[in-house]
Amino acid sequence: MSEPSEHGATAASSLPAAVPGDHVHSSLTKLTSGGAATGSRGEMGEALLEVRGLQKHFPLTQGIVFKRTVGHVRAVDGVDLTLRRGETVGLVGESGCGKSTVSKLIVALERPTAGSIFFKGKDVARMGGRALKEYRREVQIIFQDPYASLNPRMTVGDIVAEGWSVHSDVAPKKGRLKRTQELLDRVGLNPDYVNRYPHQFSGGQRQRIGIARALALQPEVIVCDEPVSALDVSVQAQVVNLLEDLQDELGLSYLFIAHDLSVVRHISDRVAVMYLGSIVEEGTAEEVYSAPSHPYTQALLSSVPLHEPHLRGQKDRILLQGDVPSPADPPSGCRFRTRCWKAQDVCATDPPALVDRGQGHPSACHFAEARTVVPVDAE
Amino acid sequence: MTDQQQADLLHDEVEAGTTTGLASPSVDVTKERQNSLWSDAWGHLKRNPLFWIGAVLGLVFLLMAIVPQVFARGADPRACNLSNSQQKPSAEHWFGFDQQGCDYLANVVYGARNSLIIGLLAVLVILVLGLLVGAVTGFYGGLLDSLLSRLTDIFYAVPFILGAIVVLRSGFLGRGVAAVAVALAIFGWMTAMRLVRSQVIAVKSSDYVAAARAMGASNGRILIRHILPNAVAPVLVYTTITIGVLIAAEATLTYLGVGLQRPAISWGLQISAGQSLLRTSPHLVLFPSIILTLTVMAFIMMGDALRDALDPRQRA
Amino acid sequence: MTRPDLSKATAPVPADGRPVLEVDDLHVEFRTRSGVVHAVNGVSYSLTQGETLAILGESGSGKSVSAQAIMGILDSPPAVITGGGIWFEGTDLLTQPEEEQRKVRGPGISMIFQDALSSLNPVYSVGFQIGEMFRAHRGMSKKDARKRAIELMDRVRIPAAARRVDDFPHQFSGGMRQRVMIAMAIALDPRILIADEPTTALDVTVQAQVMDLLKDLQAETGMGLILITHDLGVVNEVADNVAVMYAGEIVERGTVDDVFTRPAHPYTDGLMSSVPQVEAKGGRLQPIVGQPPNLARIPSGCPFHPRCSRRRLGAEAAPGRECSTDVPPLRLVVPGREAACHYSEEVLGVRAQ
Repeated sequence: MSEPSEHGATAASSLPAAVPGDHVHSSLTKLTSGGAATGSRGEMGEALLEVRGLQKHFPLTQGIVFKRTVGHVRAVDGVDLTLRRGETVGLVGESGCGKSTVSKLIVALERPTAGSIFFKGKDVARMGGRALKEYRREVQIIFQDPYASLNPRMTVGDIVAEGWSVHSDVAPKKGRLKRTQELLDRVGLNPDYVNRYPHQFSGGQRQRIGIARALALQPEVIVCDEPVSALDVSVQAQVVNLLEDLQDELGLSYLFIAHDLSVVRHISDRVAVMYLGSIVEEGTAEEVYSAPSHPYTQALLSSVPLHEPHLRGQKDRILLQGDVPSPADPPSGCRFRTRCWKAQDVCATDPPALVDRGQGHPSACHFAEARTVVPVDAE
Repeated sequence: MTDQQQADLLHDEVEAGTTTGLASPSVDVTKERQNSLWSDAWGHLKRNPLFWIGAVLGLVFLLMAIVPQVFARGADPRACNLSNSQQKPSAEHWFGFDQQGCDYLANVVYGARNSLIIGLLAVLVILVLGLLVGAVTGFYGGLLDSLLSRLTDIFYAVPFILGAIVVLRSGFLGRGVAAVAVALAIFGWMTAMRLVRSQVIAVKSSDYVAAARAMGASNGRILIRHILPNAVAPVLVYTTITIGVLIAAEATLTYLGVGLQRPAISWGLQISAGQSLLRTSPHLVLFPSIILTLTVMAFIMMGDALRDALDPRQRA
Repeated sequence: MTRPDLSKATAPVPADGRPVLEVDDLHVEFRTRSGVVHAVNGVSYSLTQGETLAILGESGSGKSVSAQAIMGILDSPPAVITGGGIWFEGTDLLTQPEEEQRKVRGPGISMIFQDALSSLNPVYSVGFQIGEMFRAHRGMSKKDARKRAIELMDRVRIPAAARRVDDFPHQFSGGMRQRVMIAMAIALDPRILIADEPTTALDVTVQAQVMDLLKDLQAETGMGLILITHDLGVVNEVADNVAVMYAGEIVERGTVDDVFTRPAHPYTDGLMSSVPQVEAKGGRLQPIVGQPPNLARIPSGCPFHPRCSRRRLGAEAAPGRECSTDVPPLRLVVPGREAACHYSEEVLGVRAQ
């Protein structure tokens, strides 16, 4: 993983981006590990972010001037997550499951309805003023759509450097241009293009600009909200590799939110599966993919098409019936029971807790049972 | 391999982004100039003949307003001789004479100043009101938005010209150039405000605003750096077109007798005075009308061209 | 709920093995204000009854444009078909007058799109829109058309079809809307169905349902299926044959088993190693460097050479096989496999070890 080459050993061309010069490497490391603003970096494995019982309900309103609340969309309804230093936690789920709302809550773009997010032991919801500002420096976000996430009227240099005008203590005014160029170089962009505008770049290149913007504030945590799903297949891998390299080099922690189960397996240390606002299964990537124990995870994994012709037809297909229920009116008890083949009476009354019932990792199912659905590639 | 082949190859590699480390922008790599969306729009605008016709006409009328002497061929609009009353156009006096025996070319030329001042002044007020109210309602939303939006609806309910007539007839603004401009602006700012508001709402929910917020940027910073620069394009188009509309509206008010009054010189007054003599001296209505139409068209054409240039859907 | 994988259900054997559709050396250009975009440059493929052909490519590879040319739905201008032929059951559609083309295409070939919501008219009920096919092409009465619409909705497994026939598109979920579109597409029993990224906008569990439905419908009717996609997994699970497109050309063609197990073109090879698989965590991804080319400026020689790790330039190259100058033709490399690379044997050899 630490091999810095961006491409196969047989590739004829050399990439300045992929093999960063020593000066860039060292100055960036310095950039992120020293300085008054950064504080001390803790031990690897220390819990950075702890999400407990997180809820976000959006009111459904009627009326024009005086709005009446007629119900709530329970976008996030009781999420527990822990992100440790230096690790990548993958959060997977289908559209509408609330995973993007979780990302917005974590970067404090939305306020939770209930529950808490602890960053290094401090509750983000209770932060204000300076503490919140400092939190926002340490937790950054990368967006899905590389076309919508960069201001089209600002130059690339201004976009990357914007954080420094908000947090002026991170980089002194003098030398900001040089730092911007170092950052661009690090993410694989030509540093000479600081004065260009976003629309002159391709999707993959724009995503690199977004990454450089997030890195500029020397964050400890980066929330990646579907960072590669808008990119072409051959470009996705470039960005995934870049994220991995940056993590190794700078000790970053990622919350990687995606619907692509293959990418999540590749990049994540631990994986949490989300369905209708809550987490149904959690464990190491190996545990969740090789021995899924929640029926939803099993169905999800069995739907992913395999890439190897010799494995074709070797997996059990679990076809789910019907559609996801509306988050405005979720089923009682277990959220998944309306589509579950294991559902019994207890499922309608008791919401299952996310605990280990002997299958080796936590799963929110009364009848959790590990089962292999994705055939193991022997090669 | 020849040099030419090598050069071609290098070009291809740069295109594909290999030698520069995936870094070359996907657009023309040989072009050094940095293109902002504005300069791209300008490039687009430059190639639009509609814009050039509008711009040249607009410039002519602007010069006419600033230095009318140059265009009046030495005649003074107020130096009149009744013996020349209603004379037809001639080689010496291109537009002929009006009823008072004043040189009509000079009159029409001197009329440009008031028309343009009223048009520009009113549009400035509209732009400021529209941006201010639109940005505030769009950005902050909530009760303030509801109240201000309903207020806008009330203004909408009053027909533009009718509203201006009532205000001018009431007399508390007077009947000068500024009064006419303000009367027009008071009942003409709502569309600009709605445009700004809807743009601000659209831009507010974009990811780059979320990114700035996640960085801890203040509301003011977000509004000024991110939202307004991306929200002004449609309102610029609208206001350019509106200049023309306002100039026409001023002529209408004046024609109806509630706008400017003699001894002010204005196209509306000229058309109004000329209409009773339409059968004997049609040129008295014709010339100010043509110039008025050309002025209005100049701004509308520029606005149209600007819309084409700023419309992102036209860009690949 | 669990059942064995039917995705490879045996397709009916074609009666005579003659292709239903043949695309022959098709060229399509877009003449835009900023230059000529060469979207399709000499693409040929054929489809027999019951066959599933996947056209695999990234955005801007021209994979959808050739299908739009077959359907006659290219916007012209700016699109111009500059050469080639599209043979459907023995007639070249491109030489026929437009009216004639419509008659052949309408019931013979139909197409479904990625975005079902924008392909359906929001102001008509889905039943009316499905029935429209019967009214317009078969002259059926409103009542009969509605009955047929309900049957079709049943056939594409929309639950409670009789009750939902009068619902409007926005009242359906994404997967159900895609089914409505499939129902419209198969209404007239076409010989060929073209599916342009049919599941890209759908969630993975829904994607599996829709792909299963398409395969089952194909097994029932024996229609040919052209599946346009960028998803390697979908190709592997659904298609018999695959044509890989890059920069408006087919760069490799063969059975899915062959191509996916042993790619013969460096682009296909690169694609395989740059995509993570759900079946294994795998090591570091091996991306293809650079960006897909701009179709207005396709590189000289082999269009893939600037990104290719195996290219041979100048003196390294064998005579007539210089990657930046000599265009590699799509040629037979081993029986049943064509690739457009000067050094395909090498690519095959390396992968086989």
